[in-house]
Amino acid sequence: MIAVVDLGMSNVASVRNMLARLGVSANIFGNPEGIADDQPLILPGVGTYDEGMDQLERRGWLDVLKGADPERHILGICLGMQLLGRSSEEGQRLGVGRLRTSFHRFDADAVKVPHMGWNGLDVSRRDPIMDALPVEQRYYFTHSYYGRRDLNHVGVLATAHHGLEFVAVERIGNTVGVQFHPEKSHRFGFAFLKSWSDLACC
Amino acid sequence: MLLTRVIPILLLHKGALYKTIEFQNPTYVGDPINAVRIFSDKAVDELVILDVDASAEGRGPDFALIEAIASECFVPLAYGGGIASVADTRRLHRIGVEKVIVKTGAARNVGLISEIAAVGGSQSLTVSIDLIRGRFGRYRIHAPGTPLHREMDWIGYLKKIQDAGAGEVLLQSVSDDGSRSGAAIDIVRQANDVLRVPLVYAGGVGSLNDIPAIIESGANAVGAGSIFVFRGKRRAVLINYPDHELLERSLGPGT
Repeated sequence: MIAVVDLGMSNVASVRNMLARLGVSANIFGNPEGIADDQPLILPGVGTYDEGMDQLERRGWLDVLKGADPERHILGICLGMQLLGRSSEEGQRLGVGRLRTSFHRFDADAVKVPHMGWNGLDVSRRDPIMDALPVEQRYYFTHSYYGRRDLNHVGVLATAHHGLEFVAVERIGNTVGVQFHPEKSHRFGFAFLKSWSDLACC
Repeated sequence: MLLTRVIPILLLHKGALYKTIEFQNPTYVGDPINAVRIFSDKAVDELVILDVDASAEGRGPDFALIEAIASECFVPLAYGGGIASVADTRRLHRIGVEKVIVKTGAARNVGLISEIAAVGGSQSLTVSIDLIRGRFGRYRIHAPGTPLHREMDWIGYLKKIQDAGAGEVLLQSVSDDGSRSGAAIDIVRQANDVLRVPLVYAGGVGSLNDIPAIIESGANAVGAGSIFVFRGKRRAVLINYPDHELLERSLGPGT
């Protein structure tokens, strides 16, 4: 069973609804009590960076996320991905650090900020999660901070474009971050969450 | 490349869906949960649901109904109506609403925008502004029950809400609502001149053919009601939405 991490401000219900429709069992947890060490986690996210880090710490998730085995399946969505990364210009706090990307603000002189709406992906690297997906994909994004692409980082599975190329999917071990919202990306989101949960558990 | 969003706007009135003309004369469209299920199955770009009674009746959102709606919705969902606090927005996010829309609450107190943005981030906050065309084609703000009602300096208000942390602006022309006679392109242009956040325009869209001109004038997304809930001159209720290929052919590849 998948544990959906509830920070009190995220769209946890949307994630659970989509998993339920896929026949994947998932429960929402406000804190890590009663969760097994190898249980797959989804960290959804709506909100600001420091508020997210504060909530992770206050609810006891930060130690769990920092100490988890690299093979444990963890999926961060939108802000959840950013919290799993190194840092963000949005906040003062450091991220969890399971992913390697740092996040920067889009340049409002160059593009409309937030980057809001449907965008395609450029797949950078083959990976079982991405291989299971259709060639033409599009997902719903809504974010003001983007993961800067490090060309030497092989963990970047896909990028998207909004004025510049940014990290859309990153994977290190079994920690995966997606900048878009699969839970709101209808058939493409269903395909993505199915691919991830096939790998993660069931 | 960001695709142009085409967004059905659904109006909640007495617990059901209605469509108005110039924000009046509501016509019954159907059951909201069923309609949202259909739109979600049709893979719409986004859905906007506005409870048009909440602020007028001085009450908050109908959370139970919104939760039931959200549980059928696998596309982005924005909700507006009666949102008066950060606590309201947290609760809406938790039950499955990605974006909250504030209008009356912001017109009463622009500080509400900064409070919501500080916790939820700008990317999940849309601020809505309704305009009425007066004599000589001049527009004023339509926000009954607030100090901004009939205010002429709507551009000044746009700047204020953007500075306060709005992540998106929903601009509606009340005078064109339900008319299907074309958009108020002039206000799209004027709004785009001052906005650095995404702009959604709604009001008067009669067909997909009206959309490219709205986008060329600077909107990032277009909302519409009538064309997605009615068919024909007699306004027979039929929930519909074009498939992605038709949208791309009509609107081009995006920006």
